[in-house]
Amino acid sequence: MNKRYLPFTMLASVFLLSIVYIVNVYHKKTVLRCSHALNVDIEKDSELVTFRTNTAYIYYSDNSGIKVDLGTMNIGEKNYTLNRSYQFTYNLDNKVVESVFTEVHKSYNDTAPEYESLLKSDRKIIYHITIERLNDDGAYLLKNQGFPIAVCS
Amino acid sequence: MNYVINREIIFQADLKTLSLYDEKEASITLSNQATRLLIEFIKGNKTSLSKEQLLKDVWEDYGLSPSNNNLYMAVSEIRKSFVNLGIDDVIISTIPKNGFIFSASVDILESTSDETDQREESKGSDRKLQIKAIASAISIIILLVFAFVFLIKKNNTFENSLTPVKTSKTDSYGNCKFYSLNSFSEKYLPKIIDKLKKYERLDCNKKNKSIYYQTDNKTFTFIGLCDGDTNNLNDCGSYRATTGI
Repeated sequence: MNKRYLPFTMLASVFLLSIVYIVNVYHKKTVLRCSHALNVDIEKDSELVTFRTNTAYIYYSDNSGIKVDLGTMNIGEKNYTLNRSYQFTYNLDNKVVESVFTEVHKSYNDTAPEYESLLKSDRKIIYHITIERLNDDGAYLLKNQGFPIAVCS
Repeated sequence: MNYVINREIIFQADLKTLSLYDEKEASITLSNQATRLLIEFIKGNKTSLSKEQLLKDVWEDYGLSPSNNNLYMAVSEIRKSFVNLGIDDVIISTIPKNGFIFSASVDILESTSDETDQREESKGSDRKLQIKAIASAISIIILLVFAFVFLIKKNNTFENSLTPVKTSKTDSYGNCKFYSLNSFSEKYLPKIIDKLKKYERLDCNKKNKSIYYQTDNKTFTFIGLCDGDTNNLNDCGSYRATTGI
């Protein structure tokens, strides 16, 4: 190659590499996806609150994510249907994934009560989650403040 | 300064040369005195120039001793040069006992086209060098910026934030493997097994299962179970309670 074209070839290559890099970095990709069947039993105000859901977590490369809950919820003798998704943003702080739940989208058949504090969506809820790898094949253990909350694959 | 004499001859005073307009490569170099004399002739074009004035302007003013002989030799040199270039017209006429008269059409050229070309070429070359330098500098800056961003991103990726799971003890029960997530929970394995039996999730005789558990026996219990061994976990479920076990 003629040497006099070298700077321009270099500039063009860098420019193209930059575009590829930017597209690659900012293109929304799924970086983690896992789901599990969740059984939660919580004693609250001398009532037993239970959740039986299929829950999925999806983390995207643009620092956003979705949590999907599909199942039932019981408060004492009352039964409700859960069919909703939560949107969140996350930041990586060393080994901790700080997730801020920002929005909830309820399906028309989601009958869970608005007042239920465990499901309240009128305020931002911040979770500090660590994700541990159970294997190299996409199975994870999720912990919130050191307590395990889910194994999912 | 350059002159075109009679639209045929180029006189480059700086280079002390005479050449044909159409054949610039064939040039005649004049002596210093002849060059200065021709300049004086051009300045006084079509006017009578006295010998005394010419001797002063061409010789005396330059610290040389003036003499008629020198003057005639210089005039002769100029005339011969014109003749050698094929100009036979009488351009320099002698005024007996007085001086000379130079009669020609003289046009001034700021610079020859070659010089202009060279200057333009030089400017163009400088500009190209500048553009190349700017292109190289921009490339290097962009590379450095992206290397910096890449390093930051590389150290802060989702992959990097994942850590391998730590278990304190592994127990087997049929085809099931139980992994305690902390040492305190190990002693509660029988209760964990009972709990799973209650949920009808403990079919350890049929297939492999991997079960992860942690409890404080009073306010928190977690059981996570997946089908398959640790290398191939699927169909996972989690049980969480704010009660003991």
